[in-house]
Amino acid sequence: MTRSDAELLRAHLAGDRAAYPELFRRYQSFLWTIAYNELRNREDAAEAVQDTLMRAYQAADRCTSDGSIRGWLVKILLNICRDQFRRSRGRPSEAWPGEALDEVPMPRNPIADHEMRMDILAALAQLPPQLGQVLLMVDLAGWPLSEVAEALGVAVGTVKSRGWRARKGLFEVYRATQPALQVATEDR
Amino acid sequence: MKEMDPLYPDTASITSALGELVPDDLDLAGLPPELIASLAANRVELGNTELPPPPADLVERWEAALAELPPLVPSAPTGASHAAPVAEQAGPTAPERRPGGRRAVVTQIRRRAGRWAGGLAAAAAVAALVVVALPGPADPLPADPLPADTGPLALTTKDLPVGGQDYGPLRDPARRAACLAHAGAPGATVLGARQVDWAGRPGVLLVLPTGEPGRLRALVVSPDCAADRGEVLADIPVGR
Repeated sequence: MTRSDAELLRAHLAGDRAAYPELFRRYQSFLWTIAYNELRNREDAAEAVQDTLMRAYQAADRCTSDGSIRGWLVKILLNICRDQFRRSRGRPSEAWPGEALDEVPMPRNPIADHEMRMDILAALAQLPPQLGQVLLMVDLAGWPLSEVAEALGVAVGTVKSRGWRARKGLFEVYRATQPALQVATEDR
Repeated sequence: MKEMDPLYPDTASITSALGELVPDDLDLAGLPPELIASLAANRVELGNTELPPPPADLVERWEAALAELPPLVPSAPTGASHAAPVAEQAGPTAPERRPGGRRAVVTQIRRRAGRWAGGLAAAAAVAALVVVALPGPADPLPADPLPADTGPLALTTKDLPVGGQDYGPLRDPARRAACLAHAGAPGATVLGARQVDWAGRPGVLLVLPTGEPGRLRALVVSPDCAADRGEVLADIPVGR
């Protein structure tokens, strides 16, 4: 039976050594995507995720986000990303690492699914991180707005505003690389 | 009045198509139908997009870090005895060689006493010590302090390598985290690092926040610092 995030955290605090790794693995893809979206640098993002792993492990007994363990993890990650960004400011960024996109699991329709994923994530990477993170949490991960607001430390209205700007920005970027979509939507 | 698209004849249908990510003060009726349709389509596509898994080498690195985690310590440890023996993970690469040669900081410091046995003697609570930044690999490192007649200077936060990434043997984040936990700073954010010569002994200077504005913590650990070994050579509050 799959244990909930809260159950895993409680088990971890009770000494279950398998609980924390299970919780971390559940969100490592999401944390990685958020970290890369924030830092745009493979090594920095990898280190930020690993630092999150460490810090959340040590601070688990101080987790107050009863309803959202994942939001608590993202909050830790974003704090680390901000520290990382300050440290690496002025260093040239890497492009989105090709291997990250080459290693997606075998999709149902390999060509179409893979291309769509590449286009959307590549377009997302062209948005300011603060906008992209909202789309990642709301549209891709399906988080409720209130949970996103809590994780980001902003008001729900701000989440809506950022999300709207992100959608329009993503549309512009995405549309430019999807002539077929452009024609289809213009015909509608 | 603007004619609405048959697909989106009212604001309820637009809201349904666009979901919650719409500002409260947005004039939905004023949106071009093409834009609504496109945003709705993008929203559906985003919802059907799977997040890419992290690269395999990073997953391996994190798995290694998970395997390295020391037993949970609910409250901040005050000594090395809290850390149980854990296999040490080797650093992935040799320490980075930093350009620029040696830069010396001669310090008069007040050492925080009683932090961790194995450091300098408590009698050296006020001592003139020499920190020399090392330019290259950490081992073996010749002790090369400045001459004593250089004279002590007060160490300020500006002297600390904030932003420095010269972690040397602590370059691997998992080992660094294990070392910090062992040294009584579990989960601490490292603001900067530099390999140093501390009173004739090689070490790694880690700059940590204290939670107090203008005040940092300079932690110098021995190069072998890990979950179950190493020494704190100095642990100094710096700044106001």
